[in-house]
Amino acid sequence: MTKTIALAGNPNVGKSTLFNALTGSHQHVGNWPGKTVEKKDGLLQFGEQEIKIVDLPGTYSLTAYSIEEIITRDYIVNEKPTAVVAVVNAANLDRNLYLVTQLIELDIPVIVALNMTDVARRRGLAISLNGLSERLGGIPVVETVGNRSEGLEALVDAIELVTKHPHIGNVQTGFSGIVKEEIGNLREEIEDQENLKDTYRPGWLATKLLENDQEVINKLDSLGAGELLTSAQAARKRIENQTGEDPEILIADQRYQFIDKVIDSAVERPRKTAITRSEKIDNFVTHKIWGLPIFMLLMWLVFQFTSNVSGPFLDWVDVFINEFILKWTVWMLDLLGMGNTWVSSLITDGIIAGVGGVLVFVPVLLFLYLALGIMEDSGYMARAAFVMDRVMRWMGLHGKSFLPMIIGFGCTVPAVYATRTLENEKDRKLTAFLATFMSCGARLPVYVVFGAAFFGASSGTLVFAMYLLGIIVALITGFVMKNTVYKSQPPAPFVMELPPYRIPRPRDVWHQMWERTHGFLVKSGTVILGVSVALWLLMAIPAHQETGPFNQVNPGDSLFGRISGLLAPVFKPAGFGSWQTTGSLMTGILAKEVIVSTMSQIYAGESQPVEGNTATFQEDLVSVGIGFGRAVYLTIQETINIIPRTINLIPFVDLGELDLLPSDGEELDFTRLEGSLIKAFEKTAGSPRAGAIAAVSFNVFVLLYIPCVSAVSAMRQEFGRRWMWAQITYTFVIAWVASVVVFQVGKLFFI
Amino acid sequence: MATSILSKLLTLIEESSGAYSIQALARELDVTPAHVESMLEYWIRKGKINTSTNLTECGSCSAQGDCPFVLEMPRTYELVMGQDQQSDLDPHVMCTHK
Repeated sequence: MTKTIALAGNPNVGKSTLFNALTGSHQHVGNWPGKTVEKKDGLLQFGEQEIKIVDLPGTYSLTAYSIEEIITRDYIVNEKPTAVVAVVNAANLDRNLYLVTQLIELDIPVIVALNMTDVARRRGLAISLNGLSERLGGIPVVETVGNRSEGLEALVDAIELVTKHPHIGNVQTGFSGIVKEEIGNLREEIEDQENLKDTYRPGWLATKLLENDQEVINKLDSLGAGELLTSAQAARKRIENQTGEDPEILIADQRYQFIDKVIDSAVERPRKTAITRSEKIDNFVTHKIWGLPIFMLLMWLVFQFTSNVSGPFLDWVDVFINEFILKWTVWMLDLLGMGNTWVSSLITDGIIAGVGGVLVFVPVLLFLYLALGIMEDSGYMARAAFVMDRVMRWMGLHGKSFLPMIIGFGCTVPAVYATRTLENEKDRKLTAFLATFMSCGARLPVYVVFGAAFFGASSGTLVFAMYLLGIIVALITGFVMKNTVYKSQPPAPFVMELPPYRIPRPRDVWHQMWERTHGFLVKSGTVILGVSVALWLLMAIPAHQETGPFNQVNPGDSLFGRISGLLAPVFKPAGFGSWQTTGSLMTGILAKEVIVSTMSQIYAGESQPVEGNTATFQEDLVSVGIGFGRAVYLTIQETINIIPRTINLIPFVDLGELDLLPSDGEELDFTRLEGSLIKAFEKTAGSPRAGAIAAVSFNVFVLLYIPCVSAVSAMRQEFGRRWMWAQITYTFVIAWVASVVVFQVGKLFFI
Repeated sequence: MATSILSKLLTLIEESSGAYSIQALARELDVTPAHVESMLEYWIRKGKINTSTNLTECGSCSAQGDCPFVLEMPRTYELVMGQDQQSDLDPHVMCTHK
């Protein structure tokens, strides 16, 4: 008769890899009878002997809670394989040994294949094979690394040994007190019944009856074992009366305690009471009082770093695109006889101004993604939700809601989908709603260009203020909605896995930074390019015949200028009621970066061409190279200057900043767009100071108004059309009200 | 009168006024974090606790799981409150735990 060995184990422990290594090409794949779960079996050959190997479904336990658990235990109980190989993840013994103890309880020979031992070793775990075997009642324990086929010989030897000399382990000693006593009593009763003794392992059946396993109880009922069931019920009652616990919980608890003892004696691991370095850091970083200020300070540092440190490179890219590329493109177009034609206008005023206007901000995004990558890889990002839990809970929101909101700092679309991790439908909708107020990466170029134009070295503070305002508006909105339209039960408590802190790995940080920036570059070459061309066309078409011919019309008199002008009065109370800003906000609904590209195109169309640069191509190239060197130098300076700027946050402290390249009294270096914005906002608002307040008001509007079309369609897909329109209306109204308040109150205080 | 560590674990979560970390629970119960995770699995099987999964796909987005903006968020375990407000969406349809 062919002997059978079953492979059992938790999901993802390398069971299938071991199965493949043992059976090679001698495999048969089908389904378990009446089930959609895949069944695999194969033949293991050594010498002239053939052993059937059956790959059981991955399962954590042998209770009756899932189809996989039922298949596994029914197979072992009914088919009675010669032995079971329990494949165990050595790096996660606590979780894996739970199944092993239950397999041994089935009174069948078990072999433990300790897989992934390489991972366990890397985690500093030293496992004694003999110690483990001894504590599990002398069953064979072999070490394997399935993906490298290591330890296969030892496993085959153990299988051969067990098939010749079956040895049953013993974990009954794991049970104690009244549980052990009642299992013993029931076992004796089962052993007295011939029909049950032959079908079930008495010890296992006794345990299952105490666990009140309905599947087993139903089967026994159909076998007419009513007396045994009555005894089991009485035994359960006795346990409950004596311990105050459900016997099922008590049995599971004793298994866990047994496992803990097994691991304590067989594995060298950090002491339970030892405080790890990560915990020491957490005691401070996630502290109930300090946690929040630390989170705020880190956010402030991120935006100082993003705005100021990237500044020199931003200026350099601006010069490279808007001077070098633009100048030599015009030269080439002239050479090809296309100077001053619509083709030339499309390329310079449409594509270079639009796409180039956004590409200027690549250094800003690179630095933002670098900072976020460091926070993510160090393990801090996970703590942010933990820290924010107290604030969220205080507002009646779920602490877990902050996780999708953190994703919203990158992009709103995945943030909306990430709400799927919340169980409560109301929490899901509310969190998706709030996530749209988080400043996504696409809004950053807007803050940076306005920050640099109106606030110079303090631009980082404006960016930080915008991110903070987004969180505050989200919390207030959540608080109001949770107490009105979305009244529900208090948020459920939750537990979070906090990854250990580690020094960020440069390769991982670089990968994240590059992947995210690459996404932005792809968007520039597709969405933004398309919008720029369409916008150029709308700005080239005259609104009326008398305003000029195609492509020779003043931007304000173009079709785009006139349509934008119709809506501009809506924004007058907010201080930015010009057709230029209105038009930018309109196109910004397609993608937030488009606000900057639109402004770049509008102001490029309005401004006079730069003249007087008669340098040759080589001279310009050298100038670009020198500019790059200067940018590197200034970046180092700005990085160092974060230290005094941070210390200067303390009242009455004023440390000087490093100035490696003194400006010699030169004027502040603005990009072409920044210069145009200063003039335009001053003109619309009435004075330089009012212009700066209007700039802040405009940024507040950009932060809060209707999210981009991709985010809106994600909302529609997840929550329906009604919810989408509610969000569009709410975000527009809240953005308008907030920007009007900022402008009007700002004027009262500062003018 | 709950005496088992399993019951104590559930009581600690039920009575907590905020988020708990696995490490803090391990310290309270004088067991290892791995032991706590293992016991949480038990409560998941019993339906007393839910666990979150990481998002890897976003609907019809062309990035299809390669979105660089999806952060690997920590796994969370949440007490099951009531069945009446449970989401009708199964997170496993779109998400797989990393």
